[in-house]
Amino acid sequence: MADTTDYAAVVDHLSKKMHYVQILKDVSFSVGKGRILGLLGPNGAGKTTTLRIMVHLMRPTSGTVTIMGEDVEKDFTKAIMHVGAMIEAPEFYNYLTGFKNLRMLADMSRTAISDADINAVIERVGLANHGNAKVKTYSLGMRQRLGVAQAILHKPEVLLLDEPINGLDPAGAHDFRTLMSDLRDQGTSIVISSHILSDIQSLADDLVVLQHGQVTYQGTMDELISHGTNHLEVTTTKPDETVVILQQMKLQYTRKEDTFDIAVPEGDPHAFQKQLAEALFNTGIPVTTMQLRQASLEDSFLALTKEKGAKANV
Amino acid sequence: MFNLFRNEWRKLWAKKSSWILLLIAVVFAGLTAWGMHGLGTGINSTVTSDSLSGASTGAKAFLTIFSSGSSLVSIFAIVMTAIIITEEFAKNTIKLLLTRPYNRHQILCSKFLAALAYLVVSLVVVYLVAILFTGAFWGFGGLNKVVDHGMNTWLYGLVTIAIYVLGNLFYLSVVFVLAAGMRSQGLAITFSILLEFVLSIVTQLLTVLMVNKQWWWIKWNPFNLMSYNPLVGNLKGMPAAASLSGWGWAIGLIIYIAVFYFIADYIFNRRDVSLS
Ligand SMILES: Nc1ncnc2c1ncn2[C@@H]1O[C@H](COP(=O)(O)OP(=O)(O)OP(=O)(O)O)[C@@H](O)[C@H]1O
Ligand SMILES: [Mg+2]
Repeated sequence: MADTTDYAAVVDHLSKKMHYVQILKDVSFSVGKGRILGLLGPNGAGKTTTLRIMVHLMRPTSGTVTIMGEDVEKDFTKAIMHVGAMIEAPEFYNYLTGFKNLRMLADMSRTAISDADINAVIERVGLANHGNAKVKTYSLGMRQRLGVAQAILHKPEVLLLDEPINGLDPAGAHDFRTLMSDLRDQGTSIVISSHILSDIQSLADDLVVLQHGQVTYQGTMDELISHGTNHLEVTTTKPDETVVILQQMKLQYTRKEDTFDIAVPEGDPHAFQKQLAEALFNTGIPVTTMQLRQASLEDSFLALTKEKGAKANV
Repeated sequence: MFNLFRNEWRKLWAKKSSWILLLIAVVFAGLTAWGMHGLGTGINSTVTSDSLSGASTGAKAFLTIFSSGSSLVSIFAIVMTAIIITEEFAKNTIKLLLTRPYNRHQILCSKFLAALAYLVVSLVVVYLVAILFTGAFWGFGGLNKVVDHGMNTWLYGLVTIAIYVLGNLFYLSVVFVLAAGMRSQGLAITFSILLEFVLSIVTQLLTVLMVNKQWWWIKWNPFNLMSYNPLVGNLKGMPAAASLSGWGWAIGLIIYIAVFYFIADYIFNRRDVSLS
């Protein structure tokens, strides 16, 4: 493993057993500095448990978490100083206003945070007119926004957000994404958990997929995108001759009358498209249409997690 | 650390229950005063001991009013102490505290200080109310006369506050253990108040046992310490072996408070926070 100070956070061989149930099994991943890591997994996969252990709300059965080079268990106060977290639903003192809730949190920070700073954060999360209302009057989306405000209040180097897009309307989700990419550009390292890939695909640089408490995929978003199977849809006027060519090229395909759906082999799909067009042209088969269908991220993700998840279950 | 305490203090007074309970104690003290003065129910002689027989009527009235108000305060302080800890777990706000750069010892300590401060403030309020009612009904003049130990009523009352604080702090440390262990608001409050009643019975039984079996060390049980008031001293006819001194009382209670506090601290530190 690389030096833990090279990363914003390093999760190393975490396991957690509770009531004789293995909730996490040997979970390891690292959060690169100034990057956004998507922690993806279905309900009950162990995302929240992982985040709870990362902020030491729970102790792992084995394994360690290091944040900005500090061991969370051994040097809790030093490590947690760098962290802003929203784990599960955000929580507040409902009998206090949004502003007062942030004021109290600010007073527990190691850096001085003025009232003006707090108002700036309230504005930044889009609650400008609601800071002085009691939190018990807030809507779900407003609570979510205030939760994000809590997490970013002390300008932490590492942000851990558990399903932050839950309950946000489309405009809210858009604002949230803008805020996150701004923070990343300023050097903040961010972990965002979600069970919906599309929620984080435009945002995340790296992806860790958790299933049944195990990491089943880990890589950059770009790698995931290139992993998916693309399809080439080809229509010719001589379908029977086309079959011969496709078989010669050892391609996987399905045929519907004169239309073929060809699975693009690994590699550059555009190069393949050109290669196939030339082969057909050289044998004198007129091509009516040829259309490349790139796999959606959701498709490739499903394919990937299905195959790995099946392996993990054995 | 001071900031943690200040936050606890803000939260405490932002809750309506803190104010309501204190108000009830004040009203109760007022009713006692009115009962003694207006209805002539008489000044409760069990409160003022024999040694105070020479004290002025005003001083006796003050002590009666003060002790009736503060008996409620000791119950209400238990309730608020249980709330100070368990509400954070019930509402999940505990994670806001536990994910800031303070360790769990400091967080528990700030809550203990807030509970202590609530107790002290409540007793001081009841003290002032008792003074006011005494002055209004019996005149302030009597308060200036020496009650006992060379102290006038004003001072005697303040020392009594200090004595009540130490005794009640023992209960609060027990409540801390219950609250940190159970984390359920209703349970912690119910158990704590039940405990107060059960313990007063147990204390009597223990005293009987001590006298009959001549097991004098039983005097060191915390409930006996709690019922002792160094200003009043030992009961008449108590064998020397069973009697307590001011120092023994104070040190004994402080040790018990520390023991329970550290048990609470241990529980609070050890447990995972995974409620949702
Ligand atoms: N306190 C607990 N005691 C026992 N099991 C628990 C506890 N908390 C969580 N679990 C179990 O651990 C597993 C992982 O839970 P976790 O909350 O981490 O999942 P998640 O990935 O966050 O799911 P979701 O998308 O629903 O939030 C679940 O199977 C859950 O039942
Ligand atoms: Mg979760």
